[in-house]
Amino acid sequence: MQLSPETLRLLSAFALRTRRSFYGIRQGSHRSQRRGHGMEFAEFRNYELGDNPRYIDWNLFARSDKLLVKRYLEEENVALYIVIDGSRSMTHPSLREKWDLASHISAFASFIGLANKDPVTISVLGGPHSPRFWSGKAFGPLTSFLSEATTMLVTPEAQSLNLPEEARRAATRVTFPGICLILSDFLYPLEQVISVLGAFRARNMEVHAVQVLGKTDQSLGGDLRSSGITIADSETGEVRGLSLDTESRATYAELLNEHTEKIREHCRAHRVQFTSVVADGAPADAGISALTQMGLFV
Amino acid sequence: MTIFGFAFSALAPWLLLGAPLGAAILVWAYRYRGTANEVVISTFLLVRRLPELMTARKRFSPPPQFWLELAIVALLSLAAAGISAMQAGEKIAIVLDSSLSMLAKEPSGGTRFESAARIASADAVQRFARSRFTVFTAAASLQRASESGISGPAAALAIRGLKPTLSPDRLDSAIYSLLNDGSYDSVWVYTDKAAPEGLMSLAKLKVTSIPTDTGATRNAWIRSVSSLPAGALSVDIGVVGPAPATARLTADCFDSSGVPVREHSGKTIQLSPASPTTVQLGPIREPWSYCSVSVQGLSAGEESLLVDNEAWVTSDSAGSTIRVVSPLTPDELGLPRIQGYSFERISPEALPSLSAGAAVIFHRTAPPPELTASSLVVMPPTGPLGLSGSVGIEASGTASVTRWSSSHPLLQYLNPTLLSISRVRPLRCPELSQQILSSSAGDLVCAGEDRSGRLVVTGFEIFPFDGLLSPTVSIFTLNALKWIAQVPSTASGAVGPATLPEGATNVRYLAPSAPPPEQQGDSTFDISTPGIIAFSPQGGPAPQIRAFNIFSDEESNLSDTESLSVSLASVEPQARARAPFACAPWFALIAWLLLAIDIARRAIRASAWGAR
Repeated sequence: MQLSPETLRLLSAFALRTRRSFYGIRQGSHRSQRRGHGMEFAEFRNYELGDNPRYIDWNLFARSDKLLVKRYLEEENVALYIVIDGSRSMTHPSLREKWDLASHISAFASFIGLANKDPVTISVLGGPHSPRFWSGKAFGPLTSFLSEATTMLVTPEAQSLNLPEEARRAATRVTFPGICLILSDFLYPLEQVISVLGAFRARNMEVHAVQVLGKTDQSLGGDLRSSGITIADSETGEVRGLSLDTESRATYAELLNEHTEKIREHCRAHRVQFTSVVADGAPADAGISALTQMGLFV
Repeated sequence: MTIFGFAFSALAPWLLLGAPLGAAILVWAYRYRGTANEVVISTFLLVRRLPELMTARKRFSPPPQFWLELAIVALLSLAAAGISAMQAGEKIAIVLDSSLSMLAKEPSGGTRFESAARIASADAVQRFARSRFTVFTAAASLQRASESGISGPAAALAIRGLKPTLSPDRLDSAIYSLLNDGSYDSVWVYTDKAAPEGLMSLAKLKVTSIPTDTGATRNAWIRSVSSLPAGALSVDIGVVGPAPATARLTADCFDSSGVPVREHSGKTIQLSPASPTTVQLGPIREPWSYCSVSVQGLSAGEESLLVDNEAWVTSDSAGSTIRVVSPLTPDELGLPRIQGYSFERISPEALPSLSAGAAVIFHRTAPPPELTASSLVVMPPTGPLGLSGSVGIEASGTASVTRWSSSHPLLQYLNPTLLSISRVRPLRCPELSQQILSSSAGDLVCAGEDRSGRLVVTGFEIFPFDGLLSPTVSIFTLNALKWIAQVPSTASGAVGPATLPEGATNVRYLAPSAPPPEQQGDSTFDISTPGIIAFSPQGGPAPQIRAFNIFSDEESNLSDTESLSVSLASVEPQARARAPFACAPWFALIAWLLLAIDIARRAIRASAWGAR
């Protein structure tokens, strides 16, 4: 994956914004739950044995005859977990535009995170082992990893996945809670969607769900004008005929909208940020557009 | 038959199967093309929730292009069915003019009839293989010369075996009857007559005129022969050709036993194409019974037609007195102005006493139910006419002639369209007669003959005879008198079917030497060649003789290739009635237009064939 200078310039203007604070791994630019020696005052607490006497507020002791220690907010980095749905509905060669957009969004988010010294972990469900990338120098290996995952997954021989199980397995590898960006089409039963999201929410992560749809997902049959077509399920390989007329297209659109709204409702109720994007046009442009919609990057 | 039924019968129904077959193939193609476009979608999660009717693809909602292509298939199928029906089931009547003029020799050496037969044979063989032919010859009457519905080669074989006759043609009525018969899809006529433009426009009639060089044709013929008092002969000679010619006219006479008289009569004459020549031979003083008159002079190589150079005449004269039954006197009828006949006014009671062969004019009087003499019935009273004929109510106003039998002797030297008739009693012709003149109001003149004589009935007034004041009517009157009087001194009959007195026996050729004529009815004989026929009347004291000739100016005047005169007004509706075949090219044209539209649509969209 090659990013153009223009794209890199645009990405440089973005920064990762969290809605809550996490314990960081290293010093960084995000407010941490850890209290310590930062620049911004946080609170006073009673002196305890073992505290460094340098942090005792002697002025306050003079006025109140109490030994109180001043505590400051720490600024640490935030772990960014990117989870990409590697199921057949995302990686089928005929639906590749969804995978391309998802990998571009992942790369862009990683770039922004690494530029701010936030560690980035990319987990492809059903894909290769998830490495962790620590610094901006790791962006090259990160894109190589995405390319390797693309080569591995976007093949006709790929197998279907048990997504909830894959999500639980990925979630167990999380060591530091942070931001979790889940990229998927979420075109599976609502119960499975809840399981996938719940697996990462259970790890005390700030979850952002990004629904990546293709043109054929958004409009049944895409631009086809045939009266009848044969459709194949990318997950199971099942084939059936379809009368492709205005009525069937409208009914499908209603069903898709209903499914998406249910997911959105669930996300709203569980403080999960939900965004839906359509893979239409150049993936780089669509990726930048998706980043701004998410509200995660400012 | 309903319009639909008629249109369906006009097509080849089995080819109409192309429409549903093409529709089925198109539906299959469109469905298959949809199947070939297999679309991979993410999941059937939502598709399973669609109504079953949509996913079962039971509904077929083709795009507009499908209907365009279906229309093309249907129209091409209809066109093919129509064209196939046009060619496959076509019944064709081939009519060869076998009249006397077709015997004329052409510069190539053959006769006009041989040329006509050769062209007709070639046409029949080259025609679509499944066409069916019936061959006819048209001379004095229409004769079928082959089985019905034979193949092209069989028709060619039948045509090669045909021979021309010596009769004048009745081609007009033959064509008329075939066109109105409805049994034939096309009538092909081969004749030496010209076809008028209007007639050629009829879809079902094709007239092939044998190409002739009328300017180089030469012919001399005897137009009529009559015996004069004191044994003299009056011979009327006609000639056509590029220049005047000298000819030798001779008469060879015989006594009643067939022995030639010693005295010969002959004369060298100068013939001019400008006007007919009348020559008097004799008188021959020796008693003679019959004579053979011939004109010779033009060399055999020059003259196109030789059979009309000889005529026969008998000497017995039964007189030419015509009886008149009329409320008016002969003077009031203008009869004294008519030369060559004597008229005698009689009462109806005197009719039974008339001898056989007498001629009677019934003027504004009903003729007897059974005729006993040759009769000219003029303006009979309204009501039954006898012999199943009838007379209609008199109508005033000018009646125009719409159809006529141009070759009938009654219309000789006559242009029927010039007849001005103000009062008409429309006729329904008796069984023994046929229509000679017809108008939109009905038949005007009927004529026929049977054993008792000839009959002419006119539905309009021809008297008083005023000569040049109304020349067309006057010529018709003279023709009618001549025809019913059967002037024995000229010729008692024309070759062809002839009626002799009832009970005539021992009918034979006295001269020339020829087989006895074939008997066709009780007293009807087929006189195939000119000559003297002898017969013994029933109970008669002595054998009688009668001369038969081929006097026909229309046939012998080879330079006058008059046009056929079939009335378009009476034929065209019939021809149009079987015109649905003409739809086939229109179906094909519309189909091609739709195809062009389809191609244009694809070209404008710049899409590949079948691509979406």
